[in-house]
Amino acid sequence: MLAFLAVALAAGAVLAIVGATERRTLAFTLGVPSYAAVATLKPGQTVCQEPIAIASGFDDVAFHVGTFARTGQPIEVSVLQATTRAPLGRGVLAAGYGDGARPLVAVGHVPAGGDADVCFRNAGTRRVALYGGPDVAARMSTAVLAGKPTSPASDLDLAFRVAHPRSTLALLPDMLQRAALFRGGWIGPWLYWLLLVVVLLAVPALIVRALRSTTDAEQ
Amino acid sequence: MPTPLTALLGAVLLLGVAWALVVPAFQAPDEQSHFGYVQSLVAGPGLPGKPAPRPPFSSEQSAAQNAVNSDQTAANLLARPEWSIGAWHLFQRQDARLPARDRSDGGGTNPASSNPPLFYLYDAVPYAIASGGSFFARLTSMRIAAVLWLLVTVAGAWLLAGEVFGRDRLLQLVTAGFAGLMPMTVFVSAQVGPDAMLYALWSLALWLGVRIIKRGITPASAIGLLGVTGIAIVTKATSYALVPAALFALALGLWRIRRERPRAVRLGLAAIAALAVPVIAWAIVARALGHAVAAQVSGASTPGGTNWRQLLSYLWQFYLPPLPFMTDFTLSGGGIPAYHIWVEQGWAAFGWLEVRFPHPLYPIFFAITGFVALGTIARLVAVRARIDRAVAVFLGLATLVLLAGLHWTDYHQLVSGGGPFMQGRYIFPLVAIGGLAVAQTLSWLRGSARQVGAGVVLGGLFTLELFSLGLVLTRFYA
Repeated sequence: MLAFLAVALAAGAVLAIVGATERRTLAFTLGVPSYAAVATLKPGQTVCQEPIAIASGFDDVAFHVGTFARTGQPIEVSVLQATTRAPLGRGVLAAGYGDGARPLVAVGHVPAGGDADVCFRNAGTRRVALYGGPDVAARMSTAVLAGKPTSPASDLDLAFRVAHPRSTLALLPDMLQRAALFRGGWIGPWLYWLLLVVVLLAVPALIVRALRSTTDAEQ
Repeated sequence: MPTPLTALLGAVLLLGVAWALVVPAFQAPDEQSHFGYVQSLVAGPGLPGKPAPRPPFSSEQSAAQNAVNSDQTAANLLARPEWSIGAWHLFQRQDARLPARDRSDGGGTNPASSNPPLFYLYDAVPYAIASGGSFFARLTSMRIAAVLWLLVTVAGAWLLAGEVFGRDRLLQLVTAGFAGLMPMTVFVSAQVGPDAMLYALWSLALWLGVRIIKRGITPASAIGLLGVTGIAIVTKATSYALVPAALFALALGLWRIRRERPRAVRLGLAAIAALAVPVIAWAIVARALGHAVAAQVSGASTPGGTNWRQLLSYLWQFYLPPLPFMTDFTLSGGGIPAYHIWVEQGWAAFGWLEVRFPHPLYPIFFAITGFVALGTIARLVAVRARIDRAVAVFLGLATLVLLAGLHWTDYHQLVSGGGPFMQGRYIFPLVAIGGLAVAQTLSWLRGSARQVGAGVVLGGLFTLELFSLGLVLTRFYA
């Protein structure tokens, strides 16, 4: 029994240390895998992914870009309030990146809440392409090129990151809130907090009880 | 019920529910196909596998899969399930407005549609009970109902160890604890799919077989063993592999009462009937409805014959590096397939096998596996005079026939160009025997050292559970 408790406590301590020291920068993602180049931008053209629900504040936008085997062209990245088109953030990817790059562009801090359009304008002199997948990953959002949905309809592969990494432990409330979505209607983050306590305390207590009972039986 | 078992069952139930609630919808192998099977049974059009143009899933299920982003996320570490509360609320509103026909327009062919129906009939109950709720409420209810089979697996392992170790409570606890706390067993058992029921039925059958061998045959044990085997067959066709071991135990039990010939004949016939009734009933229903009876078994048959030399070469290369004269089977992207499949996937490969611990941990898992295997063999050699050989033959037969069936299917699927078939979870029906091996190794120890050993084993399993749940949480939600 003591051996179990020693191992379980050590495990809990290691888990806490890992959780406190592991750093994460992902604020949220549209969950779109890069299947293909879904928007080819001629010089001056813009593609927007719109609207995007800003689930968590972010500072950087990551995307997947192709250059047709040439030197990468500058791309302006803008984050606009979805209804008013007021600018929420802006950044520029400098020329010179490679084909198939996954750059991270700082756009300034964009707070959580509301919907935004995230737009990419080819500010160079040669075409570039943004990668993404079919228009099924991001339910309420779609890629719009020159004012029309791309054909076929698609989503851009985008991830939104924070400039200051957070520990996994600090992310725990967000993680449990996300885990509680797409379950039963009555299931909420509260149940996951309860489960956390149950797994960390009740489960080992029950195993200790089981071990102690075998000791009693042997004696 | 003994207190250690009750407490263990409580712990396993809580962990099972945690797994059922942590893994995102359809982020377990083929879960969408298993769900589609149940929905087709309850909402229509009946047994799935209807020919094209019937889609594999209903409109409601397809919308749900899109809403939660499950197809994009499956096996893709860069993608995440949907995190937006807005998207969740939108889906709930849309789902509530869907007409009933959007639940019944699936039922086409999917990877699970060739399975026999028993588990799906079982999981149809929670589906039906929760049918007034949202799509995901039904999925969650079905998962939690599947967890109950994990408790049967644990109880079966406990009973099996009781027969093998003579009611040594500590060794029983370790055996059952292994079956109920191995994270992969809990992960698979907490999803919609027949595997949880399969593991449970195999654990019960192994217990009943050993009981017949150790205590002699009775009507209850004979009918129980063959009946459970029959039920296992109509749960998943993999369970045909249980038949030789079950028949061996039955034959041995009957041989021992051969002087009471009328009784032996009656018992034998009753037991065979218990096996045959569910299997034949399913065969009649399946034939009447134009459904495959045992697709996995017939799919692995070879009308063109088997190249035995090539099969042996495949077997060698599954477990050992290829020899220079052998034709190379590229089985699992390099390395030794047995390591990738039995060790890596058997210990920790969650989601669609893509959620794994850092690579350096797996050699440690391999070392633990090797230690337990060697410890068990050494112990069996040390106590060979006291070993019940019939029990060893029974358990060995169940193990070898399952492995032989899996390799037969894997080999034929590979040579027919169908790609690799084998997965680590396919040997989990033997999880109770795995628990016996761990307990057998522990039985080297005496007195307080054995108590400490048991604490370390269960503590290690609990640790693995914690880290596995953490791994899955961070993969999908961080």
